[in-house]
Parts: sequence; C-alpha cells; structure tokens
Amino acid sequence: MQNLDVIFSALSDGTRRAILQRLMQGEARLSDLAKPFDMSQPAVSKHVRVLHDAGLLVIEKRGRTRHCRLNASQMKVASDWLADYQSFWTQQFDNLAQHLATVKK
Amino acid sequence: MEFVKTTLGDDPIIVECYFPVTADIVFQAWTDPDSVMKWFGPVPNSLHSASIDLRPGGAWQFLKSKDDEKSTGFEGAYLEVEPGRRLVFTWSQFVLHATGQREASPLSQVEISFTVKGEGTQVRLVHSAVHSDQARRGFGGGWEVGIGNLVKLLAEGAPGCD
Repeated sequence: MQNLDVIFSALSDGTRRAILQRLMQGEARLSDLAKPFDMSQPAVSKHVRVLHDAGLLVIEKRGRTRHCRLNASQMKVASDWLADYQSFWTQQFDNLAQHLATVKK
Repeated sequence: MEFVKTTLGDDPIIVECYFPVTADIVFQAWTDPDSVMKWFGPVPNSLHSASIDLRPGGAWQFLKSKDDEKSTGFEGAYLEVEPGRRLVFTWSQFVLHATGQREASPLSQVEISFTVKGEGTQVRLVHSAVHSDQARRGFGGGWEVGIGNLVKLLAEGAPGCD
C-alpha cells in the first residue's frame, strides 16, 4: 500500500492534477505541457517528474522531443480505491437499512 | 432505499440515508458489537468478529475473516462519541499475515452524524482523509492528501450518481 501513498502524495498538488487532466485528453509533448501554466519549463518538468516517479505518467523520448501520456493502470489503482469506498458505504447503508427494518420496535 | 451520494467533486466520500427508526437505535447499530455483526460487511451476518471500546481513544476492530494464514478487516479508534448524535472514528483496512507481516490502507477518518427528522433519523457519513495529529498518533499514517483531491481529478468522465 506504499504505492497508494506515493500516488496520493503526487496528486496533492493542483498543478500536477491539471497536468493529468490535460493528459486525459491524450498525450502531449513535455514542452507543450508548460504552456497553460504561469510557470517556467523547469518548474513544470519537476512536477512531471513527480508524476512519473509515482507511475502516473509515462515519458517517451522520440527524437529530440519528449512525449508524456497517462499510465492508465496506475490511475486505476487510485480510482478503484475510491470507487470501492463509495460503493462500499452505499452497500453498508443498504445492509443497515435491512437490519433496522428487522429491529424496528 | 434512496441514497444521496456525493457528487464527485471537492468533497470527501459522503453517503446519506434516512432510516425510519430513532437516532438511538441507529447509533446502537453502529456501536454495539452484536448489532454490527448483523449488518456490517460485504453481506449481512458475514463478519468474523467485532470488538468495540466505545470511548474517545478506544479501539474498534471488525474482522472480515480469520484463518491460519491471515486475518483481514477494518480497524481504528474512536475520536468522538456522542450517543444518538455523532460518531467519529479513524479507519484503516488491513491484512495481518500469520507471519506478523501487516498491510494496511492509509489511515482515514469516518464521521457519522445522526439527525432526528420527523419520526426517523437522517444519517450522514463522511469518509475523508485524516487532518488532525491526534488521529494520526500511533497509527503510522503517511496519509496526508485529501481523498477529495483525487475525486476531483477523477470526476471528469465519471458516471453520475443516481
């Protein structure tokens, strides 16, 4: 579960979430990723490295440009954890409702 | 049963439900081990055991399964206990192997409020990240990021709630 901590830590930053949101639309050149942000290229590269270290994105070098894309499986690890809990608690409330119907009065 | 669920957004996981019984009865369902055994878990009556030390700082543990190799379940400690009104506890999902090796999810926090509504009770459950040092103490946390952050990120394209 160490893995999960690293993922959530990487996601704790607004810029990094914005970068991932951009990549949800498809892959992008590293140099293009910096454009929407009021931030230097090295600063953005640093965020990209954090996301890369958490396994959330993949960097591929083609010629002289580096391309970034989402690593869907790692995103799924995190989203599954959350989706699991949303449905988990809904299920618990359903169970509780059934239980309370039997103890009523 | 109709549930009002979180619209995926900034907030933590929120589940709400109205139960046509008194707040004391719902509160008891959450805090009495025998009652918990009857409904908590993947399906009703499926828990292996439930132990509850109902006081601030007291531990709770619901075991889903236990055999020679490992035990799995949920555990935490109560932070606030207000009978019939409010219950706050830390939450971790764990697997304990017979070898002593232990795996656990990041520590989070569950807050349940019981509000009298007509002849019944509105129950609101909020499952969120842990913010207080008090809650982290003794649990080897490492959980510093809001669940909401990720929910927000993943909100785009996520299916809506009914």
